[in-house]
Amino acid sequence: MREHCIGVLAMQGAYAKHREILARCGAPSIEVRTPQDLEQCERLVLPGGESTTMYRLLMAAGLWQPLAERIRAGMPVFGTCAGMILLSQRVVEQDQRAVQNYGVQPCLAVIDLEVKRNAYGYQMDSFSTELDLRTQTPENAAFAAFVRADDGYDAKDANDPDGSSLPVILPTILPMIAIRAPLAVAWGSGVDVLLRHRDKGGDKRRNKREGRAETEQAVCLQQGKILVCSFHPELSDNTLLHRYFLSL
Amino acid sequence: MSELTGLQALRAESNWKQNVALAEMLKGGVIMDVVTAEHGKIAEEAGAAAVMALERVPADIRADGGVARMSDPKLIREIRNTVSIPVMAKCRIGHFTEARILEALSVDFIDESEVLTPADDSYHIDKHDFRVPFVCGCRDLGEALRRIGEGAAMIRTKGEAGTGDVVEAVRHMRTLQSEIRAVRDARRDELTTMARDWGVSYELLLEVRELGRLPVPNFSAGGIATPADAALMMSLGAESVFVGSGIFKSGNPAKRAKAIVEAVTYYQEPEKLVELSCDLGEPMTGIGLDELADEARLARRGW
Repeated sequence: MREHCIGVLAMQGAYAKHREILARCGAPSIEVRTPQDLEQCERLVLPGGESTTMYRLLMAAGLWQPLAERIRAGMPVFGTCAGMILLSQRVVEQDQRAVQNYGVQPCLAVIDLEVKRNAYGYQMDSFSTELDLRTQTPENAAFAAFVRADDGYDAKDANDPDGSSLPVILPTILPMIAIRAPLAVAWGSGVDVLLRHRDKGGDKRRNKREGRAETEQAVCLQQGKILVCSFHPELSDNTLLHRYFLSL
Repeated sequence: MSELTGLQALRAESNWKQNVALAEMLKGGVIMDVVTAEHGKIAEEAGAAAVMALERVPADIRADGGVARMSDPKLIREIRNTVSIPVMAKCRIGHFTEARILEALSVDFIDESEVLTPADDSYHIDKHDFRVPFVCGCRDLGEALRRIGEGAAMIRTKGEAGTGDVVEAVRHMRTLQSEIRAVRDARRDELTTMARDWGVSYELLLEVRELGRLPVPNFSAGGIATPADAALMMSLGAESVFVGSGIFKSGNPAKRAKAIVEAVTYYQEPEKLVELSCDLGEPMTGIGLDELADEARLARRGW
């Protein structure tokens, strides 16, 4: 294992974008395609892409088992979208026909979370919005403290030692780009919800037809050193979640 | 709200951002042409990142002749109901009503494709006017930027579909990449002349110069038939590959499909490519480009 070596799983998907964001956080990374690559890593990002494709490539590469073992042994991981699906305990499908055709999508079962794949529908139901961090109440104290500390405000400013006269400038807006996104549907008591999005969830046209009310959807969750989110922080300019991952 | 104008405003008002994002998710993957639900299943099992649902693969369109149109929506729906990965479908160049039908069908991507017979010999579709993303073909940077200007969320170099000959795919990718390098290294005052010569907007050339690449993902299509072909295109700068006739016109589609998927992931590892190239059965027979009359070249459709 190389000290501070960060891997980005590069079987398929938006791995290059994760590497760009990590580089902007001052954290160079390597692409992981083989068990030997994985051995070098201290922490790992599982990017968005197609979870079915990644699963098959991970199996073919002999990476599936070593990956599950490393994560169970405490390696910090960050899974976005397809990465979140692969890390979860159980996958259910929005469309039951997929289950008939292929069976249930296998997953690494390292976070006590059940996700629904393609929960929002097709690409036409993909969306881009903003999460207001001031309205969030993260269940995880470390994340709450991280966000509060991340306000562009230096409490040790010589002219203002206690910081009382400075406005607190929170990084209030976190862009949320959800592409054929999965939905967290159930999780165990060991899992903390970090970010929520007010939305109806599920297929938008069906919601309209059935007049379903808005509810809060958990879109970013954490269990120990496993961080997952259903959207794509790597596609925005905001580095908050990547920096938080690096702090785990 | 910010006061955006021009192209930036069109992008902000449409789904451009999340449509480009879907293209990002397809990177490092293989998009396979499928003509039946059964093919769709084989493609997903093999690890395709998406499928292109159509009635006939390009090799058959070429052999049959006549007018090639959008596929029967019933067939597209059947394929859509079989796979869990994104589904693309083709409409004719300029045929915005076929595109509206595909949008109403909730396909995930529309390919405004030269493989079908063009419906308009002057205008391509105004893709900003749609919620669904579009991919378009190109032979060079000018053509790529004209399509991106119209709202395409993904570009694929055209190659020559239905031939199994990779030479045009290589030519188009090399041309595109060397022109991108020329723009990246150009002085700003040189961009105006490039804009005039290539028939593109100065604004888009500025964008390419700043990014050092196209503003949308850039995939490769047209003539890829083997794992080695796919790896070659990735090495030349493709971010994913489309495989049309190459899989289901070969002796062992399931095995070839899986090998091409892995070749895209391991394109820089020759030892791995040795394994992947072994014992794949008969490749598609193909047509050499030098056997192909000028008027039979699909890449010349569109401008």
